Amino acid sequence: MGVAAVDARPDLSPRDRLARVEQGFFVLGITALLCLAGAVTTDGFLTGGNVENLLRLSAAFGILAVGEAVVILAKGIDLSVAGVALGCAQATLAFMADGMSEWQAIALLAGVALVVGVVNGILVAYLEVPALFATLATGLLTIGGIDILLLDQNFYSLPASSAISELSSGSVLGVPRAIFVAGAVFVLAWLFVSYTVAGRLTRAMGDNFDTARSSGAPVRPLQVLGYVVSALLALLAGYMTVSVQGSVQTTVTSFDPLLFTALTVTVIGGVSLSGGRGTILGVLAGALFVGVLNNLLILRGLSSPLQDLVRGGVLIAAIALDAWLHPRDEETARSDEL
Amino acid sequence: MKTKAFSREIDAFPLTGGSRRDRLAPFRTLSELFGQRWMEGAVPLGLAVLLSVLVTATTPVGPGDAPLILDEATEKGLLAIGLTVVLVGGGIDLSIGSIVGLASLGAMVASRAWNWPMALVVPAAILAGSALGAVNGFLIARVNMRPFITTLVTLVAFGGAAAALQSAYSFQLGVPEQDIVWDFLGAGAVAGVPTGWVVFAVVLIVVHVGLTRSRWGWWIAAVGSDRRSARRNGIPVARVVFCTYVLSGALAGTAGLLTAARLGRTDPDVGQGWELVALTAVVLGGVSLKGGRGSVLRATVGIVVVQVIQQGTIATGAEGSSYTVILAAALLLFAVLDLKWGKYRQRTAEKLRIDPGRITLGPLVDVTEPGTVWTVNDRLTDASPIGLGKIEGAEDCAVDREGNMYCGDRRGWVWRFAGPDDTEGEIFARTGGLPLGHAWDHERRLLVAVGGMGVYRIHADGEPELVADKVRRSPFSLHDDSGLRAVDDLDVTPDGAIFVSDFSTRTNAAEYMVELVESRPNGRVVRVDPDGSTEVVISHHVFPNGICTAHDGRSILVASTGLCRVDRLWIAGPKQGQLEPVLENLPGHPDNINRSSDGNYWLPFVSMRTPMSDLLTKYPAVRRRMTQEVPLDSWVVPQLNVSCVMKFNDRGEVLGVMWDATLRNHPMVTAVKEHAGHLYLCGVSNNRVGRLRLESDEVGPIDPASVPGTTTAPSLAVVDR
Amino acid sequence: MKKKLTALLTAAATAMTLAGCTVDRGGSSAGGGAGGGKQTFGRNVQLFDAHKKTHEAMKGKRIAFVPILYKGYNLTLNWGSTMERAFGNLGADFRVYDPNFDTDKMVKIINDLVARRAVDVLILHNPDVGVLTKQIDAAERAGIHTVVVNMVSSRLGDAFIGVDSVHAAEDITRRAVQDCEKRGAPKRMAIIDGPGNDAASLMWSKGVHHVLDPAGYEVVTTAHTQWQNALAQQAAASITQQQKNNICAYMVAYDLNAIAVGDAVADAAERGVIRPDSIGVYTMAADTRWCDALRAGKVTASAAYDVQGVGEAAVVTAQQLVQGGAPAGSTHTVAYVSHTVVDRSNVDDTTIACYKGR
Repeated sequence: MGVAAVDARPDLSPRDRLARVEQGFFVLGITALLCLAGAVTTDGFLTGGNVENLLRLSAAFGILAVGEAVVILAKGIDLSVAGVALGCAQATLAFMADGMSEWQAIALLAGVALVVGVVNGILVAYLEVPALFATLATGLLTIGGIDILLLDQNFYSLPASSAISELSSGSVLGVPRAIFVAGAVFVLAWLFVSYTVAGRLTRAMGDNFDTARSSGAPVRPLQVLGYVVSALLALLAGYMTVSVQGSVQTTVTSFDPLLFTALTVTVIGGVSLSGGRGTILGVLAGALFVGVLNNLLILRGLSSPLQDLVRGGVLIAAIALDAWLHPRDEETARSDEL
Repeated sequence: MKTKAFSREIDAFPLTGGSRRDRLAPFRTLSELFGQRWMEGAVPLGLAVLLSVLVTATTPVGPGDAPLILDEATEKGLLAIGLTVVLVGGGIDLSIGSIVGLASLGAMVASRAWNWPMALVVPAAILAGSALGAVNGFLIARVNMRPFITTLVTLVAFGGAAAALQSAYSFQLGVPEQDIVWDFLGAGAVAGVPTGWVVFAVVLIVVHVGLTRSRWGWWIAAVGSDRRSARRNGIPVARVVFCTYVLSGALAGTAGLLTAARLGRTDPDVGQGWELVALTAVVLGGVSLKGGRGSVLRATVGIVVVQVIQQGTIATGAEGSSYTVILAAALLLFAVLDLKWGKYRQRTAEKLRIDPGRITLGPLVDVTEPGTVWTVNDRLTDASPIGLGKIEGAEDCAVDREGNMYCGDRRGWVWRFAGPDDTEGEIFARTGGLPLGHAWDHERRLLVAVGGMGVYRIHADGEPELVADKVRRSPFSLHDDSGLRAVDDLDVTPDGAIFVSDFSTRTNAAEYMVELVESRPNGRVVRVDPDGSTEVVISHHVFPNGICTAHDGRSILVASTGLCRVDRLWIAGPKQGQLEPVLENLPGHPDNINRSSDGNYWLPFVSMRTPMSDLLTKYPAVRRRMTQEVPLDSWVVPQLNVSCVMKFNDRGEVLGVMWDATLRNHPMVTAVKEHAGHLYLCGVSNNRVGRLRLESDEVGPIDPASVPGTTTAPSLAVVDR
Repeated sequence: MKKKLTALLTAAATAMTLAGCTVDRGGSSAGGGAGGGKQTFGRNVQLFDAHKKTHEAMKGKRIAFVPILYKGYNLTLNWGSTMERAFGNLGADFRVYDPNFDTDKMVKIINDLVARRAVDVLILHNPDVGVLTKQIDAAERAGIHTVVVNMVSSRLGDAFIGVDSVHAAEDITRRAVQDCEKRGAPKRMAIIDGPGNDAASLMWSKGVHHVLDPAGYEVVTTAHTQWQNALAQQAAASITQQQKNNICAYMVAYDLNAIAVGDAVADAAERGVIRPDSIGVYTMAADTRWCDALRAGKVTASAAYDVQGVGEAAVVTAQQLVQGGAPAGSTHTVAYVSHTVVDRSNVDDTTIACYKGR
């Protein structure tokens, strides 16, 4: 890690210097190392087909992670994304199976996602329910409610000629469409966070909520906006997932792997759970890292429980690093900061 | 004469002229209810229990399901207990579901695949749970990671480990191992009670006692309430947090063992989603998500409610995910409730605290009309001042035989002004409260009713001694009315008992404004016997403010500021224990009563009635609104701004009235004491005590300072002519 | 405090010792259910009387069907609709309880039904060899007949009805071996089953091994999927990526998973990881969606079995148990329905293939 030499100020400890480095570059470096290791140990890893496939599979959780990052930047967290992504995708396929036109179904479910986002926002911003519990509950309510009200099959397949299936096939300007869409989301999110007033205020709010409020920022509407963005991106990610898989099974699980992957990407990308810190570049780096890791785990033939263990270990390491780089201040730490 | 114990206290409520309904103060009762500490968990818990009653009433769930519900509740209840401890410590543990799975599968693998003896499997399962909990604890307490996200990760990671374990031993797992210990844990009983229930009960009792009665439990609550304070008080925060996770893990391990024994499930999904059930249960049980507050008993009720709901969804055959949906909705609802109820409870209690009542006063005598006994004069104006500029607010005073004058002071002191002319002032005693009423006992020691503190006796060296500061708390009262806090006057009877008026059981002596605006029968008269025991003799009186033993020693007179009247309480003779009116419908609000030397009584008014104030007493709602919307100093209440003293006799005839119409020297008079042909004028906001020389025809042979009926011949002090 | 706790624990321990610990191993046979009644028919029967008696015997009998998953799942819907028709005609009270793939909930449903004695015959679909052991035991003691369909439990109950999984696996594996020989592919296959501790998976693996081991084939790996398509697809993708063309077939225990595996294989072929049509996908049972995939060329062949027949057989067995009058748990039967190998050439001519939900 030659990065420490970049910062010339002598009075900083190595930890502080490391904390100041953009974690995106750091993670990109590790990803490159991982790729190198993969190329040496696993044949068939560094082929054009595999890399393209890897990126295509990473598109869905990359998009999900962007939404999650926007919320976490504002010191919230959104656990409902997996529920929204899968539930809405399932419901869309169910409507299509019942003969509704595709765009109508998508518009309807976009409405549902919007409502979930707004409800999350209101619960967190106006009713001041801890975000963890509010979004945990709304996520379960979304997927459970959709299951009870809208689904009557265990298995839905995606019609081959639908717009959703087009999401992950074909290409735009020579780039596979899934990668193009994900890229567009990353660029837009980067512009939003870095150059718009709302984006900057969101980060300010995550850094110090009280100061942002005192300075007159519309903190509550901004929080709602964050959750709405997250829910809509979750919808897109859900379509992307279905598009890649070609079908969905509709058994409800409490914590879906999709949510877990999105959180991993966000945290590894340096978006600190204490809010206000992190960049979209970091999220991109995190998505690439997780994509490469997943691909390598599969190529090495690890069973899915073992993959869970490895991913869990990686995430623990990332959170531990975050906690080490940006420790809680014992003087200001509150007991209810979960 | 010996005062017999009153068989029952006299309820003075009828004096207000109110109906039975006026006795109730619904807002205040609500406020008191909200103010109770146990209300915090009671409302969520009550709602939760109501929910389960609803479920049992509307679904086929019945008594037959009770064993099933309890079986489930024991296993998940162990998780709920662990989770409660973690939550009280300010953390959260989501990984318990996977710990259950891992412990359950691990125990079965150990028994079925590795053929471990059960003597090893049982402790190993619990230890394994603790070890997994220790992983959480290490990451959270030592590495300082956030509990929610950390345990979310370990939930997935431990779940992965459980699935890997199951996958590796799936074949051997399918073959059940017969063992007496498995059967005992799963289907056995201790004294007829299923083993699981016994285990749960023991854990529940131990953890409850530990959490509420031990240093360990207090530390956890302290850390959960405020980490910083806990750390500064020397509590090892990290160690305490670590321990909560280990405990939670150990209980999850135990639950895993029990479920393995009872159901023998060998699929990797054992325990999946249990964390959500436990979380909902504890939130339903009113355990705060914010840390520091929660009880495992309430969490247990929560888990039973959740299980009843689940049984309801199962018995009605409701669709697959409806239970999840109900749980999520309940979690959300009760999380909001926890938040909002906690926030608004105190606020509402405070808002509803003042609840004015209705009283009925008779027609108003017009004191401004010339030519009556009430006609305004300036007799009090020229009283010579004592302690001018030294005294601040002497409500009452007492003069000893030597002519030394003792009076109270707002700052808690008792002054002594020596001499025949009372010129030399010194601080005689410091009470720490608000000295209000003064009287002499049989041994000529000074008795002081100290507002906010109780009845004190002050010895010759100025050392105060507590006589009484509490009575028995009345039964069925939400409000603790045992303290004698608003004591404002007292007098001694021939048998040595002290009668004290306590103007309010609710407000402190300094908050008399609240009492005046409320006009509710909150006051009482208390008898303090020579042995220190106390008894309420008149209850539900409106602002009793003056106490005076009658000249014959057989009754006491009680003045009520709120009701503008004076009553006689017979303490001896044929009418003993009866209350009869002496003066009714006075034109002002009376204060302390004292005997005069000519066998009559002195009674000052603190304030005069007006048509406006009379009107207000009839409209409690207006006064209520006033207290909520107008600052205290703008309240329309009887203002203490009149100097008027009247003399009346035992038959209730008004003999004469003296005024300071200018209000220049005495903005108010709250008590008068007669001594040696002089009248001492006290006022709770005056900067002096006035000394007024009386006309000789107004002075009689009695010493008003001595207890009636006790002294030898009425030793007339030297009358200074 | 410690003293108090010690005293408490001592007291508890003493109480335990004094009271003695007991283990309830059954024995208390109570009769709330139908078991133990008398036989409906004797040696001879009157022609019209039989109709009446049969209806009388079944009238009001409460029959519950608890599959692993019901809503939207063709296999169990097929059984359920058969049962609903048959029991409906007989005037019995038939009801389906849907645990929605949640074993925890399934156990609770059965416990609840047994505890409330709300049922006379339980028709169960066991997710896991070990899991329902205690429930079947409890049902028997409560006098409730149990019929287990398709996935045998280590506790048998009154009857098991289902496909002869081992035999079906052997048949389809023989077909797979034939295909591989024909292509001259490497002698390597992969098994993709369910959770691995359920009867179907165990017997499937057993049957596959019965054929492959003597034929000199190697089972590269056995992947467990929990019946989830996503996991099956992932497993197939990873195995394909690893093995490339060094594998000749996937033996998938579950037809719907086979579709996902077929997708993964087709995908790999499209991306040039493997040669097209070089890896076969074989399975057991033939859902109509599987038939669609077959026609689309994604999967190769299946040991289709008579799904409708399982439902019918369960109905018949339930009637037999009720009319026979023997106490619950007194007889034990294992009965199999027919199966045959279907592929593209005969799928449209085989009645037992391409079953639907209704």
